[in-house]
Amino acid sequence: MKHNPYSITIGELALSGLNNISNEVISNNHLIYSSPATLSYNAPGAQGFGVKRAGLVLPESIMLLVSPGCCGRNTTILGDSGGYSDRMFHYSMSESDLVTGAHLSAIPQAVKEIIEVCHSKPKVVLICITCVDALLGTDLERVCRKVEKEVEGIHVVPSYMYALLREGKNAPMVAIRNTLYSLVTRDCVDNKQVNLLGQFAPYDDDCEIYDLLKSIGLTNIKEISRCKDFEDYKTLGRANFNLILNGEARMAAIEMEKKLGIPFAELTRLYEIDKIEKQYKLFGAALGVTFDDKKYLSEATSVIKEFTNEFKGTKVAIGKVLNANSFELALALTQYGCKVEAIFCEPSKNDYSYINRISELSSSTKVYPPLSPSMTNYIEESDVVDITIGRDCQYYYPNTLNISWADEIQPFGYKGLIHLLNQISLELRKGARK
Amino acid sequence: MIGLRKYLSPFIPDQSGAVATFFELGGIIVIIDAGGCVGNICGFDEPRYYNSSKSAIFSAALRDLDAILGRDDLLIDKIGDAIKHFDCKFIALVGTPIPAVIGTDYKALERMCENRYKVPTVSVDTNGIDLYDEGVSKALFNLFKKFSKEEILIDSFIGILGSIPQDLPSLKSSDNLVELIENNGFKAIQYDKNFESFKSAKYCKLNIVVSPSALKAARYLEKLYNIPYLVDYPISEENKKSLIKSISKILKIERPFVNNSHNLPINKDIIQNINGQKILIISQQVIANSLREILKTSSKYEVVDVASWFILDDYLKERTDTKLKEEDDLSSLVDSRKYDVVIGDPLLKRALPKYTSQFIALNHFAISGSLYQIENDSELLKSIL
Repeated sequence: MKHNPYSITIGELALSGLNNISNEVISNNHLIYSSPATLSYNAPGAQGFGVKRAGLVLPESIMLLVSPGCCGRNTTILGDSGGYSDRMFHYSMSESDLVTGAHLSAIPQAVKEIIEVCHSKPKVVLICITCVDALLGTDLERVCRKVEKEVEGIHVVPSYMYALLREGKNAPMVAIRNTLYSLVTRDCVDNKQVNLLGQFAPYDDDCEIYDLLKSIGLTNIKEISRCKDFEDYKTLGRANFNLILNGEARMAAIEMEKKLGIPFAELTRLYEIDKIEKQYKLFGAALGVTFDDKKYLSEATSVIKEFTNEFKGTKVAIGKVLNANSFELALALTQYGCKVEAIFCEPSKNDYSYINRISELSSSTKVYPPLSPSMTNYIEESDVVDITIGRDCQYYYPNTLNISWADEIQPFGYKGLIHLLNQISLELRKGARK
Repeated sequence: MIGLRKYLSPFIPDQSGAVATFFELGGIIVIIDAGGCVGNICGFDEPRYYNSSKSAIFSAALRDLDAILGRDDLLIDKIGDAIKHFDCKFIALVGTPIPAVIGTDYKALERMCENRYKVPTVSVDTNGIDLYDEGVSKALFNLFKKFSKEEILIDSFIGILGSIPQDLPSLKSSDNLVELIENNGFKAIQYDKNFESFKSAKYCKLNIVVSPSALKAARYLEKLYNIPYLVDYPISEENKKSLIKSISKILKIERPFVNNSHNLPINKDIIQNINGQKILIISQQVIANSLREILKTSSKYEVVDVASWFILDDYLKERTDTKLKEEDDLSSLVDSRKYDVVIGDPLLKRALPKYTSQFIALNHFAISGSLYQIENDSELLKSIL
């Protein structure tokens, strides 16, 4: 019997609304299909920053993962390629620990032993626990306080890799951002300092956000990934305000506002040029300033013009493992003359503003839910496209040009848009030459 | 310290071993987890994941309330929705730490699936704490227990048990072994690549066990159907001849030896390059024993011991072989017995920070994953050849 992968057109999706769409599109309602394209959903750390690697962004830190062996399998294996295997340690729980919780009393000794084998004395030890401790109701904060008393001069902080809570408000990648900023203290305020919150790696050096912030007197721009040591990290507490550039850091910003009185503002990564411009205007208005973004706006406008002239009608497929919201990117590229044939991403409630607008421009664009069991029937290159965007999209179109657009160094704003269009253009030109 | 890993990652866990056993059998594999276990199994523990579409792997995607309320009925509903999308031969349910904590009744899940969907279902109560070979052992045993009583009549054959890539040197290893056996006039079937073979198990004339994780299944088949088994995996040209000779002897069919297309090192070259008196081999027991047999043909070694964190079967073990449990056990063993050659996965060097004598690489996927994976068996022991 022939089976097909589930797909729905953007037009149908817009018409049905989120409340009336098929179960296939709602990941909570079905088993999760594990294809190489969805690996990042199940194991964000397999190809980028998962909880463990993200935790180690905290300068001069080490991590002790306390879990069944299966959760720690990738610590050193992955650590070798990520360059942090000497900062990652594991305490393997036994079967009786699952019942008795006896592993918690072994943590102080384990921490002392791992500190001894470190090349240099760490300033911070992150203790990370997983789903089983979520079920056991482990009070890790208490454990950390106990350990901290036994290891003089070292901060011991809790971190949580609770896959069970993935769709909750305190999902693992939200919780780890909270952990990362939990040691920030506020000794004084530097009115010229702003912290960029959200990512585990810096933004592109040439991103206009740095210049624009400097132009209004915010000359000290801090990011955790650029902190050279723990002393430097501590100065994050001096910020005039936090600027969230990824929604998963909102909880951390709220905590810092509550605990330290650091206010925050939030910007979204966008690829629609008019929306980028509007966002900077609104941000400026909120701060009582005007950003002079003409230079960047004009550069981006001319790149778009060139792109549209050369590549109008280019057929594109977009995945979900990329530095963009798949639907917003689809909308932007449609506006720039591309024909988005397929989007491989489950829509969320927040995507509907984009979906409704795409449906007006390209209602036949197909949406495939990558996590749906029906995707076992997906046949490579089902729709013919000229280029695919997203690391996962390579799996669906192995013989088509691809840009992964999933680098760890983060794109943002006009420059993000410019770099994206330049990369697509470069790839298409290379493809045309072949 | 018990449980602490300062230098090594935990080894491949039982749940990955179970999935590896089911991987090429054409079923739907449902891992009863929240998602992270599936990520690790597919992303790190299964070298065939990126190049095979023979099985469909799913996460049950348990959430906190599913675990707290034990919503098995919801899981069964989701499985029912998933199997509508393809013609699966069977359903495999694989445990993880979450069902271990909440005490999931796997047999009940099996029955619910079979009653409702009329699809044969097999479960493995893995817990993410035990090692991969335990998972392989349980999965193989449960498959034979479930399906070997069925009757699918085929020509008699030699069964190969335990030939998953996590246990063998390369992805080509098991196919090379089949080629060798078939070149010598025998029909060979790898159980873990052929679901129907479990239903034909009683027509097997001889099982070849290539890793200790398959011993339990081999003994079960011996007891139930009187099928003899041979424990061996060839890692040298001489080993190959000896394996074929043993098969011929058991099956009472004498034939001239025919080699396969993949050359292995010869014993002399291996021996020539291992320069010490006290040798420790750390690998899965069948391969370690094959290497020991080669070294024993020379009088230059005083001691050749085997150690492993994985199954060390008493029947295959020598008196001075050691079962390792903790990470520290390795350095304690090497220090106390003063071995001057250690042969094992390159990653193990990290756990021997003070050891300075010869270390010979013998990769084991279950330890280092794809870090030191080799293309084919001829590259085995390449660091000394």
